[in-house]
Amino acid sequence: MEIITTAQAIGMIIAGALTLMMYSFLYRDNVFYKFGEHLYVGVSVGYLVNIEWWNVLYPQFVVPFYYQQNYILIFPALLGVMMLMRFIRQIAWMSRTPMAFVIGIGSGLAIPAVLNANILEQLYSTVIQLWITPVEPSTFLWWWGTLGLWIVFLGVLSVLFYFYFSIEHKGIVGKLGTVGIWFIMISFGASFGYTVMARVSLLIGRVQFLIYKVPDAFKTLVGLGT
Amino acid sequence: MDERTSWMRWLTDLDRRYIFVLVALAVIIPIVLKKVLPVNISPSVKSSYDFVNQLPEGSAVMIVLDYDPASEAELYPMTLALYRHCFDRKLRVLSYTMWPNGAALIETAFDKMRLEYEGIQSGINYVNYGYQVGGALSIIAAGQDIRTAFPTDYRGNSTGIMPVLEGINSLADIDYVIDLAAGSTIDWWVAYGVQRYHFTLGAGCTAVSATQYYPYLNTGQINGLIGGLKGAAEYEQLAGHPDRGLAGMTAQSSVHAVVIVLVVLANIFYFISRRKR
Repeated sequence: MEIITTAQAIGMIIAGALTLMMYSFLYRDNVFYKFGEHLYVGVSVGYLVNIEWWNVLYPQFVVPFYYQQNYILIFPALLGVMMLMRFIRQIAWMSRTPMAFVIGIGSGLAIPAVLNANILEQLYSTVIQLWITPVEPSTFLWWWGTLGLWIVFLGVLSVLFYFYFSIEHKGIVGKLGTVGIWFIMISFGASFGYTVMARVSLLIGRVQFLIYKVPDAFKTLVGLGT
Repeated sequence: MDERTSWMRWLTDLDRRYIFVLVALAVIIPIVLKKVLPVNISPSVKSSYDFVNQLPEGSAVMIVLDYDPASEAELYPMTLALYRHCFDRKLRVLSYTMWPNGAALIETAFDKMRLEYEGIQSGINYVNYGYQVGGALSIIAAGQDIRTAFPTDYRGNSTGIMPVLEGINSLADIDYVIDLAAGSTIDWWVAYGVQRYHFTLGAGCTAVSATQYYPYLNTGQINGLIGGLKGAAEYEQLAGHPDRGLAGMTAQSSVHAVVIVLVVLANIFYFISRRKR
């Protein structure tokens, strides 16, 4: 058993109780679920504000500005304050300047990088690389890999045809579009399977916590644990 | 109403809470019994493991924990498996997070490692940079000068003279970067990290987003992909440190069996009832 301090043990028991409160919603909506939900939102915001202050604002603005006289930081700080002016209708126009700054910088950085990473690289792998150079002694692996590349190529082409609405979906175009639907359905199926796995994993994590950790916390509190 | 019709009506009108109970039992029973089944290793996890495994002693690995406690069930076992593998291989580990609630998870994981690996110390064997603001900009900043980008660690110690950072000036000097992500940060690492600074990138993600990142694997933009709890279990098995990932996979399999049976049954009853109409 891991070493658990009394404070940690109390925290773990509260976490266990809150987990059960949240799962009580599966039976029906109730006051325990609502309490847990509201507490979660409140604590999250409080924790986030604390983290942002001690990890961002204090070391990156207060310390250099106030203690190290790095006065140039007043400009980004002012831009930050101007962004918040959006909440006051009379001076909401002030938020446009920092917004324009963020969008300008963001677009400048994102457009070439994302275009290359998500379109050109993907396009190259899909359309240009249709044969695997046989470096392995196994002919089966070579054929298998090459077949995979052609399936991906066919998938991309047929799905693009399915979403191409300038030609009537008849004849070869219609058939390709139908193949595209199959590829889309297979993709949705894979995503759904993974989603089920993800959601079940969250349940498994909570059950492991309730079965292994919470009893250890109780043992620590009554003096039976380490 | 014949007997078959009433039985079918009972099944189609079944209160969904019975299904919740069924799923709960499918999870609880294998966990209580502590039955651990081996998992098949997928090539995407194996390639990440192999890459870490071939790194010489003292190499630097950056493990970025871009998640918060909401995804802890899937990504924390992955984190521990990677940390253990790195410390087994005597590699230097650098960690940070772009998620405000992730910093404490890194510290908790390193606390656990300190108990398991005698003698490892912060600043010498590993560094926790904590939460870093800026999202994609933090990647670009670390790619230019890592000490300027992350001047202090989680506890406020200066990173300038830390032995763990000897010979590391930017992301390009790091032997392997692996992003464990609950959101879209892998996209940022590919677009703003790999393309600019040309380091080797691996990825770990929640199962929900695994299908989204396979294209990066096929193009070689990432060299490995650890997907969800199953990926974590595979890495635990490869690294020889069975833990929560492998322990959870038996429950995972039993729930999948329940879901498959329910989907098949529901379809059978749907088609029978449609034919009757």
